[in-house]
Amino acid sequence: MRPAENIEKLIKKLHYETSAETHDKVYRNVMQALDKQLKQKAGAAAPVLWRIIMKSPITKLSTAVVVIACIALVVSFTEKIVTPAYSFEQTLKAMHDLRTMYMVCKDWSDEEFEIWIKLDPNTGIPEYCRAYWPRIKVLDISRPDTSYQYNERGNLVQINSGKLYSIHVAPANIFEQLLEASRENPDSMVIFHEHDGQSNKSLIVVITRGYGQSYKVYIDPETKLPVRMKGLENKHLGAVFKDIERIEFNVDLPEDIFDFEIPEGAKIIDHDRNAKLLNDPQNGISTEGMTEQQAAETIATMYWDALINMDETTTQKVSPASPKMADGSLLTELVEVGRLYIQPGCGIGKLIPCRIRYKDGSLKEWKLIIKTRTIDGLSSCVIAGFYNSPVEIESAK
Amino acid sequence: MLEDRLLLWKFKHGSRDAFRAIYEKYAGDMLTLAGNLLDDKVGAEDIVQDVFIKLVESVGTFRLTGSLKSYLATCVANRSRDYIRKRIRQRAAMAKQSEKTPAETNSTIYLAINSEQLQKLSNALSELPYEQREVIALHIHGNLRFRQIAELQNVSTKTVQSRYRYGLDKLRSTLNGEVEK
Repeated sequence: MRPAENIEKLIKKLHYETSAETHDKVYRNVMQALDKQLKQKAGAAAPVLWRIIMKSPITKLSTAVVVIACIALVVSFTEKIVTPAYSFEQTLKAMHDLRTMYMVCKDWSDEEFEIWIKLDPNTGIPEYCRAYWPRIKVLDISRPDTSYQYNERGNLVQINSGKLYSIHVAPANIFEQLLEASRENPDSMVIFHEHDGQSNKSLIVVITRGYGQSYKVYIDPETKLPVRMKGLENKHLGAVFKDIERIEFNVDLPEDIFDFEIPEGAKIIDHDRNAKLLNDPQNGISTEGMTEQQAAETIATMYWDALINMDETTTQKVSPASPKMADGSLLTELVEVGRLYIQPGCGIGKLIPCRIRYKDGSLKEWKLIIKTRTIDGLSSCVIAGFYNSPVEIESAK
Repeated sequence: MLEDRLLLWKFKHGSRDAFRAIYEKYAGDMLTLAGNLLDDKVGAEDIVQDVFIKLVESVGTFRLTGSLKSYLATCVANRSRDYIRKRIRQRAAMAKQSEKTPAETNSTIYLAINSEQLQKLSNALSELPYEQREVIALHIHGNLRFRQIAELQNVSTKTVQSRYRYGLDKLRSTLNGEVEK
């Protein structure tokens, strides 16, 4: 080793420490400064308008006149004042106009995570997401082109084509589903006002039930946007969001928050495995001479029949990325296949709803993602997976 | 770097935990940097404290362009210079006093690994002209590039590189070739 490197190495070892007592003192002082700053910030957010107004004698007089006039108006029109009615659609509409979101949440296993979302300004659908589970040290970066799931502890990176749908099931999607459920059954949604101790103001509270899920959502009456959410019930696997403990809208996000650099020495697993499987001409079925609907019905029927009959070769061929979506031994029959439709935000393919009867008597609706392809001039399709969790249509007997 | 920007972002959005994480991540490094920049070591904790308090106070307006560590290291360097200038003025005012100020014996920071060789190196570093010491400490302990140090010292990158080389040469000769073995 060169002498210059030796001396540099030695200088690197010149680390200074201080006594625990001094360290604690410095730490205390710094944190005190922080608390002071946070208090000031909170104070600055709510300026004391009354004091500002009352500084001038002229404004004092004019304010008094205005106050009296207001009281008179309120008294004379009390009977005419009607609290504007709130409907859950207002919240959905407000959420469609957002640019970005930041949330501190819990998933259904009560694992805390943070999520940053950038929404498509035209559709209100999440385009980019970054979610981090600090306890288990898992990071998900979801982008329209490529997504990454990084397990810090194992230094493992999984790379996927397209978005990670698990974290893209953002609150607006959940709300849309619940609103749909309330349209079918108006009793499934209860709306009332509740005084909130945290913000010290009255909030709109919406309790929603439907499709095996139930949430209590706290809404700001002015912005109509949610301020918190509490998951009460979830019968399905797959849904990520349970509680939202903190939520901020239209915040400026750090520029490269949705970038991901593969850490040094990380093991890359299943690199683009799904994309390869879905583009492999050996997988899927030919759709020559069929309409899109016919092709989707055919492949969906083939898949469910094969799953129920434990025919792994066929499930693997028609749904190579996720051949076993459910335990085939619990299913009895495919009852109905619906119409193919476009789901905004699902870039892989169109969705086809399939109603499946279970052995316990329940009926559930699965939405399969059908990807159509043209390889070497031949058109074919493949099942790319399922969208969201299955919805219970009829419960077990 | 992104992790730091996220911590700063959360701190800007009122997270006390995020600031605590920043402090815990960098306070030790900044103390080492200040300890290596100051020859008497006495003001090192105060400098670190001031730098973090300044960060707290300016977080609303502050925009990070490079790395947080480089930013904090630059702040430590600026404050160390101010501290040294102030002390020189104090010394001049107390010209009749002995060369060493009484405070020099009251330092509360110490080397984490206290070997004879490191103690000798630390003393040798303290004896270097401040500009050379600053270049060495900022490059090795603050992870600043020569170009960044050049901006800070308002000189050319070549000058910074020369200061670094001369500084290392002097340290090597002071240690009488011990490290070359």
